[in-house]
Amino acid sequence: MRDTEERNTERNTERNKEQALVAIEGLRVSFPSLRGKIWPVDDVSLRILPGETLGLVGESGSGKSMTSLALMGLLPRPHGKIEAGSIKFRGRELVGLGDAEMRGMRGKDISMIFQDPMTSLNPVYTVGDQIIEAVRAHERITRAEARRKAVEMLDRVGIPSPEKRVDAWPHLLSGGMRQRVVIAMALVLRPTLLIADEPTTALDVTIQAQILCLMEDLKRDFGMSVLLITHNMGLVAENADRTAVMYAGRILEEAPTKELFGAPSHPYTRGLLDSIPRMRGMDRELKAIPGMVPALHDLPPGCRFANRCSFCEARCRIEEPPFFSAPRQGASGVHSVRCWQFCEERTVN
Amino acid sequence: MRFGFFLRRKVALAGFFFIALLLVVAVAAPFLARIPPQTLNPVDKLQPPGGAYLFGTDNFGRDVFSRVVYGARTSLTGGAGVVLFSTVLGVLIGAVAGYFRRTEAWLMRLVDVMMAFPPLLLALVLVSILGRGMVNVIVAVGVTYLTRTVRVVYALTLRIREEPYIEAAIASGVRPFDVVARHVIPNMLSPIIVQATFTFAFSLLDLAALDFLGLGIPPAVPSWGNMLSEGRMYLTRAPWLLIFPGASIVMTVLSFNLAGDVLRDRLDPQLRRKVEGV
Repeated sequence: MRDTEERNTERNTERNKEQALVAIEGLRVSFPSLRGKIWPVDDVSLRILPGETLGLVGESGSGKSMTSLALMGLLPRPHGKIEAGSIKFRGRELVGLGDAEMRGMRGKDISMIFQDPMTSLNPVYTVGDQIIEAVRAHERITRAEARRKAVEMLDRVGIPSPEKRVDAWPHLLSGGMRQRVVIAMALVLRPTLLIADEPTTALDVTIQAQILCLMEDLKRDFGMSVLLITHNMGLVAENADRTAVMYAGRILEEAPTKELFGAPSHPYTRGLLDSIPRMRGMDRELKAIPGMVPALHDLPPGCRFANRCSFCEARCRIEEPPFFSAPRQGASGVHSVRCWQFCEERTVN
Repeated sequence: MRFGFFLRRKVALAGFFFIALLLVVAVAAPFLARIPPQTLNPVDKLQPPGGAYLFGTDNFGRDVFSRVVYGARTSLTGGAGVVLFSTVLGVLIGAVAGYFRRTEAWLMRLVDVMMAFPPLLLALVLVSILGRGMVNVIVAVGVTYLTRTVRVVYALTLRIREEPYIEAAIASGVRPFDVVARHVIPNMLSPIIVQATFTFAFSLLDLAALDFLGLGIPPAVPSWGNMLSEGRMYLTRAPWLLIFPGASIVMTVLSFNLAGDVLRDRLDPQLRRKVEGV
């Protein structure tokens, strides 16, 4: 029973590869630095299927935000450059797309919400003005119509008495309300992809849950995909369908979320999960991953995690592992991991 | 400390009051001055203040009070012109240089070169090239203040461009020009206003200096600088020719400075905290 289900899912996944909303292939982003060129994103491949939430986790500086900025065409200029790889959105190549065309997609097809709702609203405009501007950047409609859309959207994201709040100044709203406004601004044009970069980090825990609920609700309603970027494992466990773990510019492990949490395969992923306090066994000392993230201008030749890994072998220090398929633990979908431990298994192409 | 702040507030209030008075005087000049400022009356030349002539008369018998009153018009127009010219152009250049990094090197080095000249000298050179006249003088002095405004706006733009709401605006597909015009510039209005009040104050001095050197507004037009220039020969015999226009300049510059201080304190809370912390 489980076998057929699994095979079906795998076939679906194969078929969906063609229909992926976003297909990032071998993405490499370079920056100049004082100690030579660095690659904050190095050979990253990701797929986001329609209606799916992909979690991208990693610590600060692992390249997760850079990946999303590359996707938006918003790498810091003039230094950040896409050196190699391709980003396809609905089959359309985004790498090398002109400024005007890229701008036409931003906010309309791909939207982004940022970490800090306190500062992502312009203090000199009312919330309505900002939503109206987002609408009018793409649609030739009158202010009154745009305003109606803004009110409608504010209502949709759960802001009470939206007709009144549309004229409110950002500083009059609480953090949770502001993040709702930010979400309204991002979703008012019904984009097919929402990039949420640490959407709840700056919020209280109870508000976090509300915002995530709202995002999930809107995602289902609008049939959009979400790229959820965070360093919070709990967040992806709750919200992501699939999860990719990034470390020093590389993806180390990618799997359906249940699988990743049920059977974490890469030593780094296991380390991350071990460092989270659990409800049971509070007396246990929390484990930390020893060592430090390698500097991007001074990466080890082999596996990037080698010098912090307790399973490190000679081979790990010399040669970087490709993706291997991790043994399944029941959940469905491809589980690939960049670690020599899984070398005996067949490689994922 | 408390007392000092209180005192400064009162003095500043006087500054605002004087500016308001000056505006009224400038607007109502024809009603205040019974004698037109150009009317020559050689019989009554060099009359001391008091009597028929409130501020006395000059060497041509012109009413000093009328000339001071009409001079207020000239000065305020000149100052406003300089502020308008340097602020509009300065904000434009500074914001463009700060936001569109490709233009940065060119624009800012050009501004640096202009800053290398002593301001008054640069204004003198420009007036010599352009010729006398209100508009030319405004342009000449305006250019020297332009550089300061550009610097201030440029620095502010560099800071504001990194704000998350700018990123959010870009991410929602707003055009680069609209980002600058609608998001960057409105967020630095308060420092620009403060800068403008100081520009106004200092430009009055420069305008007067140009007049005094005979390179400003044509002598027939009543201006405080021209009055000083013409009256300086009579320093010992008729000091009122210098006292009234001179006092007007001092009072006006001081008032605008005080107003600028208070505006800065009010509009820039961070700076206020720093000042009060000392």
